[in-house]
Amino acid sequence: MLVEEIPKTINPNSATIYFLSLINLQARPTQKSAENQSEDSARSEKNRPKVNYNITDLLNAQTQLNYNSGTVNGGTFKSSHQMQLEKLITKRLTELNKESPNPTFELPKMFAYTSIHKTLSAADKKKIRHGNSLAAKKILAARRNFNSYLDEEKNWIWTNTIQGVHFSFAEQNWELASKKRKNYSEPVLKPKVRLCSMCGSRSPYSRCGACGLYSCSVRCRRLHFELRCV
Amino acid sequence: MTKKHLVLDNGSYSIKAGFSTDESPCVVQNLLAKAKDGVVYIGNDYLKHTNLYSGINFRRPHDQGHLTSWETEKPVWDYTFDQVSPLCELDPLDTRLLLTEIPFQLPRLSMNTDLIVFEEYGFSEYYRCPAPLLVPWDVEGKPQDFTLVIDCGYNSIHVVPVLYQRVYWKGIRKLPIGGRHLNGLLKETISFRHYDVSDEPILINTVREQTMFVASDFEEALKNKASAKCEFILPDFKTTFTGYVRDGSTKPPADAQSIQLFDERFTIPESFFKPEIMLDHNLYSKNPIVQKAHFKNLTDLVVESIMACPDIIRPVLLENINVVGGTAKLDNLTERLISELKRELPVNWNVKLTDQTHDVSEVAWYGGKRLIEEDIMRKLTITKQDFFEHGENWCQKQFGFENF
Repeated sequence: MLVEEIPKTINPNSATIYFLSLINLQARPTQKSAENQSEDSARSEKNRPKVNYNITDLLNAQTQLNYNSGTVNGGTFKSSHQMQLEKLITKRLTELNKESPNPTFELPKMFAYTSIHKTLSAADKKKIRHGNSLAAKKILAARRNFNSYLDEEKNWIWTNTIQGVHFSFAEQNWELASKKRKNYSEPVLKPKVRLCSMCGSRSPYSRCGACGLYSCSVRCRRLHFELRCV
Repeated sequence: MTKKHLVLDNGSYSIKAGFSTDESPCVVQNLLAKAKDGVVYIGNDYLKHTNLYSGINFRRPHDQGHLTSWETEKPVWDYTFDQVSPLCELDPLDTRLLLTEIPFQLPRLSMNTDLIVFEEYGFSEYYRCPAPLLVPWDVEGKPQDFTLVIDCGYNSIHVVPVLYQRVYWKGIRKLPIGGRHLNGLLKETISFRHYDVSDEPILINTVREQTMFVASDFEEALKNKASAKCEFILPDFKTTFTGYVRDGSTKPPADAQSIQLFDERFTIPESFFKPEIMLDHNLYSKNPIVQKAHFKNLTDLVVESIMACPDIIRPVLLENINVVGGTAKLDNLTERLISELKRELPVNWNVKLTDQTHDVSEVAWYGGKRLIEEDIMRKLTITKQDFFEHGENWCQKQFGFENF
């Protein structure tokens, strides 16, 4: 990172963001990051507040500010339509994810792997279970799922990237109008497959009005009404 | 150097671990299992207790592919370390660790991993990278400069271009459907058509591994679905514990229960090529948003990924397609993908699959075994001193991904 003097007249279109120490103080993240304190600030006088010069945190603070004040719009922002679709997909994937009836069973209090190389006392076991250092203890006892971590960093720049990649298969903003494909990066829309909800064959008919599932014959349609239709 | 080099491919289904001197990796299932008897088994331990297979619960450290739960992962790692060095205890202080993660892991979680590696285990040197990065290294001689890796995992499929041994972050695409979602769909289908199997995860997995395949031509296969008939003998816990596919020669016991599978054998894996199959379900199919939505399939994502790379290397990249990961074992998946790609791309581009010398689920481990011996590793790794001096953010800066 280069250090430069802030020019007196700032071009409004310039892409560079300048950080003043005043902003830093406001945007100081709540989480502890004691290791990141630069050496300079450690040397400063006692009563001067410490300033965290971690560039990632600064960037995040800036994006968060932008989000809150609404200066960022377009580009990465998604339509409500897309958001709803993503929510539905997530729900469905979680449903399919479920491998066994109770995937988050509680672990016994003293649960730890017993090494084949040495016998462990109860105190050792506790140590293995809970970790050696304070930070490790915190992580080992976290009991959080991925969504809780994701929510915590909802507004940060990288979350956007992660979620963008995750849902790239369901993006709806394709160029629907262009019939003829000019370059290969635009995918062509293919007709969706219609499978009978009862027997799995191809269905030539349209969706059931009530539930949206397909059926392929009168027999299957009747069965469908009896068994699968809401 | 007397140092030992440990390669740990931390997959969401199984851990592949071993020292660089080992012939082959030690494969440990990445889970804790709680059976009916109330005991919690670590890693592969539950496999021996065949009588407990029914109604078993699995708890996995990965959530949506991200390594989340360390209280689950730690016992499995401890177990794995004992498995890789059965004769003496592993000494992390004298070990260089190469660890894999999924591309675009949440930074907070990666930092947790770094912290555990250094503070809890105390490894002396450490390098963390996405698993696809290691795939080009699984060769004799110099690794290829341009490689397209399609990593078919248990949680999702990643398409990752690796250029000059570096991950090209902008080109990464992901299809969040993996082996476990196929299991979920299969469970729904079998529960609807035959018996309720919602608490038989092992049975479901066996049925998937033994009977599923990708159709070369889905339409044709659907028309002749009777020819795909296959009879799966369910476990009776006397003669068989996992169940098996009936073939002509052996006669199953007279009272054996079986299920007949037809179109589900290829319709369910077809979700990779037609993601809408996954959403054909009452709760979702009636929603107009889902009805109108269009999805990109695996082929589209591969094409997109290639098109995101600089144009001159695109054809070169296509000549070196590597399909790896456990789900890639699915019959005919690679062949189908290649034939679909040929249809999508210009005729003068040579779409070519690179044959893997090792088992597709272990390629990353063999790549890591090769890479960790190279001189360049000394520049890449972070030592314990570095970590304690610069902190966790610095680690993420060295190993993490680029935002865009």
